[in-house]
Amino acid sequence: MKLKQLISWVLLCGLMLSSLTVSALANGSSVGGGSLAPTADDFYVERGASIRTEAPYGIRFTVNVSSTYKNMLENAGYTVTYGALIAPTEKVEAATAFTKEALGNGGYVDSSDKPFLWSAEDVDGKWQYRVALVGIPENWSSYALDFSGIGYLTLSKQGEADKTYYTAYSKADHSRSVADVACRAYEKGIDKTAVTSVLNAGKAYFTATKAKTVKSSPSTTQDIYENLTALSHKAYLTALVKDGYTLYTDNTLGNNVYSTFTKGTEIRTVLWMPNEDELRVMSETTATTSLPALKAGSYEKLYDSTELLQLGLNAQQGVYSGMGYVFRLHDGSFIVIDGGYSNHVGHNCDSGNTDSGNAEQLFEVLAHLAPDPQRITIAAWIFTHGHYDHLGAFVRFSELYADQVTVEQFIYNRPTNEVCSNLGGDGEEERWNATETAIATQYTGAKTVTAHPGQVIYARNAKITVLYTHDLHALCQDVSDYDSKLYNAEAETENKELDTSTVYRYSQYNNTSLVFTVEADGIKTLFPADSSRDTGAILLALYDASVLKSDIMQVAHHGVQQTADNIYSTVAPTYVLWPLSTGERSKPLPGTDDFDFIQCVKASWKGGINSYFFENGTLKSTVYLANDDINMLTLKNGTVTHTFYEDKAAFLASNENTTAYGDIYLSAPQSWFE
Amino acid sequence: MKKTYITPDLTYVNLMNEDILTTSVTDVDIVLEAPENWFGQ
Repeated sequence: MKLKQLISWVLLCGLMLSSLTVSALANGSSVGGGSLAPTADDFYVERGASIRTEAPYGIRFTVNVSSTYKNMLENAGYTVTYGALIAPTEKVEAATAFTKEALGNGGYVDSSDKPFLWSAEDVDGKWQYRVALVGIPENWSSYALDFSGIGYLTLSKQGEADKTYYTAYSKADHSRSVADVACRAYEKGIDKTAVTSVLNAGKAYFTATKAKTVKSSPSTTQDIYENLTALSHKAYLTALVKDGYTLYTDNTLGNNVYSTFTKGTEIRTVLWMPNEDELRVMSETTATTSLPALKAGSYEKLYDSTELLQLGLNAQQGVYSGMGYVFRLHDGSFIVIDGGYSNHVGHNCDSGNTDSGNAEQLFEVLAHLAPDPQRITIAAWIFTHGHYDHLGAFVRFSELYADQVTVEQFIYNRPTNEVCSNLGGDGEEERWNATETAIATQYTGAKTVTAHPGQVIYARNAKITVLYTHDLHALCQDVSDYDSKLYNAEAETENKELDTSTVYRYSQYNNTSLVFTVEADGIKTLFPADSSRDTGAILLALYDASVLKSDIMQVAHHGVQQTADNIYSTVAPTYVLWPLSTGERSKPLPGTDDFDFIQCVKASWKGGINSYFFENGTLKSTVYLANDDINMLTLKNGTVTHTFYEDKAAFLASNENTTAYGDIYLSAPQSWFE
Repeated sequence: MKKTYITPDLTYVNLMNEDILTTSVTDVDIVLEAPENWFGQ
């Protein structure tokens, strides 16, 4: 049994049995059968573990029993035997369940072998006992070994078969190593021998060497290590703690562990990717980047759904590609992704166009959707990369509307020429400079978060998870090899109308795209931005469907010269957003003859991509092209509803700004506050 | 007219958050000895 399935099963059973227990007590009937099962509040192992700082040293788990539940059992005439098991986490994960029977003799230690002790008796409505594992050898491989704890109770009564119930178990909550706990204890100021000897062992163990140091963004220096073992990662984290750093947050995605530490103004982000045998450490300071908040704050709920809009591109004015997405969140604030096309700054394509109206469109859409158009709040503005059809609209937007919106945080990762050798070829540096100037001068209250893989960023009811930034592409030679293999394998079965040199020419800067998911109202949306094939290769190397599977997916790089086809079958999206204009309104690429993007996509990429775009040669009904349209997906209770507007005018004529709860907003005149 | 104020319950993994660090009292621990064969050489 997979561990996640087991946990879900236990939780489900707990919920079902919980209602039975409450019911039996409420009507005063005698208890029996399933109603005896404890709920997750009645009987549980506390999250985490502690360390015994007096000899014999060891790791300790704490079990809680609610007084109400304990009394109920005793009043019902049961004799209750309480206990706990501790086992190596590796054995727990290999077993079908975390029970004595499943682990077998030698797979666990059991508190029933020792006299029972309560460590707290009816304090704050609960009883408590603690079980410590000692005899752990004093070496790093033992300190780094993960152990799991679980509680159990057995009910005995004359004439009835004994019943045993276990506490719910999850690896995240109930598995720790001595090293984990020693680090947390040291951060709290506990520097007793039992703690410091563990930290010293970790620091001594870490003998990996720096293979490269890369300035991967203007604010980030990245160290890439080599000569690693499976125990190096935990040793590095332990050494950081011994050097005075404190864990700010961490996140596990697949097998990868991403941790952020702070020490005064210093920030260290540690990326551990065991599949690739890679340890990358990024150093920054709070002077140049903000730390993402660990939780969303409280807010007023005005809407019971989240709206996701794909903005049109002004195709009729000659914009053939671009990208702008807007989420309206439960309180009427927004997440904006890119914003769309403009050649206002640093653009050398389509020179006949000025800025093509994407900035104006973005503002009009926000104003139309906001509960109060005079108070537009953007909870997070994400810039995927520096190309004119993504970042272009922002500077123009700022010139026109900065004083009419509040932006709480900008999220992006600007590359340097150490990770991308063709910087500035299409005005990207000029555009980034103008963007950062606008942020600094026109949004003075906004935080700027440098995005890194593994980050979780909260915006009201939405959770943003960063999967990829160009940090992972920096000097990643193995991925380039993988990418070549990928391309050659596909080229054998595909019509090679595209020139491979063109693929790589365009792909390099697109490797600086952020890749992330946004989860809201039970729906997960994946944005690969303009990911190229290198990025696709990295994503597939790091993550499987457990991370990538999403309900909605944006088509990478507008459908051409883009990420690995296998991404689509792994993500397996139900709905596809395609940020492209096409058909009769499409315009040729500069310097080429007429060029139909859809024909190009159909001819060039025949793998998994087509199964998600086309059905019998025509677009599926769940694939939404941008064109001049506005496609709105309403996310609610795990379902998606699509609304189509043929252009901006049709959208602005709609009634989409009505709040779910019928509030009427009146704007106070500014003169009242002067 | 219905309004609700909520604090979202969003799940995230954060080792530092709730680890138990009540380390001072040890005489109420139920102490178990780890088998030697759980550890490598």
